[in-house]
Amino acid sequence: MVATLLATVLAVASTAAAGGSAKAVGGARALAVSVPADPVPARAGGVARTLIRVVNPNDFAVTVVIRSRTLALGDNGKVSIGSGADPRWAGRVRFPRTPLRIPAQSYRNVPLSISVPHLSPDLYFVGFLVTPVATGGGSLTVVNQIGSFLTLDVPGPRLRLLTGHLHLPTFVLGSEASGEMRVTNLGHASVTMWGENDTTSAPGGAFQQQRLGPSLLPVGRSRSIAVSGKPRWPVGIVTVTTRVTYPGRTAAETREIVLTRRVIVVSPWVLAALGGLIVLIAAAWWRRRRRPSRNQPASALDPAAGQTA
Amino acid sequence: MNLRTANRAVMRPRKRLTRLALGAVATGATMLVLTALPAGAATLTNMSWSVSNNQVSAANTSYSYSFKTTTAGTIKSITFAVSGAGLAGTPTITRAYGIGAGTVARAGQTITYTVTTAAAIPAGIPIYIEFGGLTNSSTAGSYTTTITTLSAVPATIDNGTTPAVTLAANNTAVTVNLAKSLTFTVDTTAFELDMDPSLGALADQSATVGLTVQTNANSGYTLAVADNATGLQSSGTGNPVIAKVSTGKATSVAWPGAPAWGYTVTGTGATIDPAFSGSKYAGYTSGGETIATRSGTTGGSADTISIANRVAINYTSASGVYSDTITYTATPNYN
Repeated sequence: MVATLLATVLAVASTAAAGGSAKAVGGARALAVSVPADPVPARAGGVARTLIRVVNPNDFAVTVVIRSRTLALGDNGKVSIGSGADPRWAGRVRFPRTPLRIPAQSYRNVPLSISVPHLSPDLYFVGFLVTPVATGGGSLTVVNQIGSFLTLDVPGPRLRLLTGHLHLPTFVLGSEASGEMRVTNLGHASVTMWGENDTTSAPGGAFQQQRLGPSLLPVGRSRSIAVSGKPRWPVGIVTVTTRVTYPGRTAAETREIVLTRRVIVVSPWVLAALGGLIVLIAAAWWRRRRRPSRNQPASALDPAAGQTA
Repeated sequence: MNLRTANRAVMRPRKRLTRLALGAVATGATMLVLTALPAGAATLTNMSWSVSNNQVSAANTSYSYSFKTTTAGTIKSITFAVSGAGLAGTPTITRAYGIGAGTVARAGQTITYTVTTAAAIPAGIPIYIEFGGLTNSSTAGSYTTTITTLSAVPATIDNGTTPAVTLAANNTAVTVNLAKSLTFTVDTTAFELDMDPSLGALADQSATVGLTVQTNANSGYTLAVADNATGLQSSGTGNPVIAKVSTGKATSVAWPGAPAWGYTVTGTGATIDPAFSGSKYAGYTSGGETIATRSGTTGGSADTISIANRVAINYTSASGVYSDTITYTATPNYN
C-alpha cells in the first residue's frame, strides 16, 4: 500500500488520469489440502501412520509451510484454528521442517508418523496449517492458507451419552411445522451419531423421511438439525418423530433416542375462510332482522295504509 | 329304503365329524406354518442405503446401510444383495455399529459381513454398517439392496429391501481422492493503492480480493481473516499507522471517512457474518475473526467471497509507504 507518498505525486497524478484504481501486483493462487475423512486407527502408546495431501492446481510452482496448530471444536461442526502449536502433539507429530515446493499442477503426499501417547479410548484431533509462502511485490500482501486436521481413533470401550431435545411448537398458524432437534454429547467421549426424522400427518398425510447421515459430536458439543412437517390438508396434526442412534460403550452395541412431537397446523387461509363465513352469517342475520316479517299485518308496518282502509 | 335312510342318517354326523376334524387339522397346520414363518420372514425396519458417489463406475465408493432388527437372534452374517449387475471392488469395513466386529467379502452382487464372534442381538436394535472400496455398476438406473440377517446354520432371521438409490451417468457429485478435501483460491496475492489526499478519487480507494472455497466436508467450512498485529503501518519515522475503522467485526460501522482502513464482505454460497450487512466495515484483527461459514458441502460449485479492502486518507495521514499482510484461513468443519 502506498499512501500519500510525496515523491510519487506525479505518478499518482498519472494514475488518476487512468482512473486511480487499485493495482494488483500478484496474480491468483489456489491451494488444496486433503486428509483422510475417517479416523486413523491409533493404538495408545503406538505409532499411527497416515498422510496429508497438498495440491497445487496453479500453472506455477507453489512453496508451502506446514505447521502444527491447536484446534477449537465448536457446535454444529465448527472448527477454528489456533495461532500456536498444539502442546498435546508437540514432539509427537513431525511436520516437514523445511518449506515444501510443489510443482505446477501437481501434488505432494506428506507422510506423517504420530507417536500416540497413552490416551483413553476416544477420538483425538491433530490440527495443522498449510501456508503458502507469500510472493508478489505489493505492499499489501494476501495469504490464503488452509487449516485442517487429522482424526485419530484410540480404540476401546468408552462412555458415550447423548441427550436430545425436539423444539417444536404445539400450534402453528401457517403451512408447515418447523423447528429443530438439538443433540448434545454429555458423555466422556466423542460420538458418531446417525438417524432419521419421520413425519406423518393426520388426516391422510403421506409418510416422509429425512435421513441423518453419520456425524461427529465431540464431548460437550451440540448439533442442531432442522426438522419440518407439512399437513396434507389446510388443517392437520403433524407428528414428527426423530430417531438418533449412536454406539454404546462399544461399537457392537447401539443406543437410540426417540423424540416425538405433535403439532396442530392451521393454514391462515382457514382462518380467513372462517372469518369470511362468520361475516356472511352475521350479514345474513342482520339482513334478516331488518327485513319485515311476513306474518306481520301491513298496517303494523305502514300506519298510513291503515288509515286509508 | 328305510334301512338305507336310517344308515344315511347315522352317516351324516360321522361325515360332519370327519370334516370338522380335517378342518381342525388344516387350521392347525396353517397356524403352525404361520407361527413358524416369522422366524424366517420377518422384515427389517428403518432400512436405508446411501452411497458416497452416485456416478456410474465410480471407484472407492462407500455404501452405508442402516436398519433395525425385528427378530431376536444370534446373527452370524449379514448379506447385502445389490440389485442389477456390475458391482465391483474389494469392500472394506469403514464402520460397524450395533453388531460385533467382523470381516467382509464380495461375491458378484452380494456383500457379506461375517461376524467374528456371533452374539445374540435382541429385537429392535439399530445396526449401521458402512463399506468402503466398492465400485459402482457401469449401468445407470435405480438399484436396491436386499439385506438378510442370518444365523450360523445359516437360516434367515430377518430380511428386507432398502429404498432405491439412483446411479447416474452424469451429475454434479463431488469426486474425491481422499474423502475430505478443501480447495481455497485467492484471485490476487498482492496489491497496491496509489493514494493522494489532494484528490477525492485518490484519497478514498478500495481493492477487492476474490476468494473461492470448495469442499466436500459434510459440515462445510469456516473462513477467518487476520492481519498483522501492527496493522497498516508505515516504516517511516514514528511508524505511523492508518487507523482501523473498528476494533473488529463486533463493532462494524458504516464507512466513517478518512482516515480509515477496513473491509467489508459479500459472497454467494457461504453465509456471510451479519456484521457486514448494510455495507458495514470492520477493522482487521491480528487474532483473526470468522467472516463466512457454510454448514454443508459446496458440491460442484465453489462459494465466492469478495472482500473489499478500503482505505481513506487525508492530510492528517503521514506520507510514506504503508504495508500489511492479510491472511485468510479456510478450515473444513468436522463431520
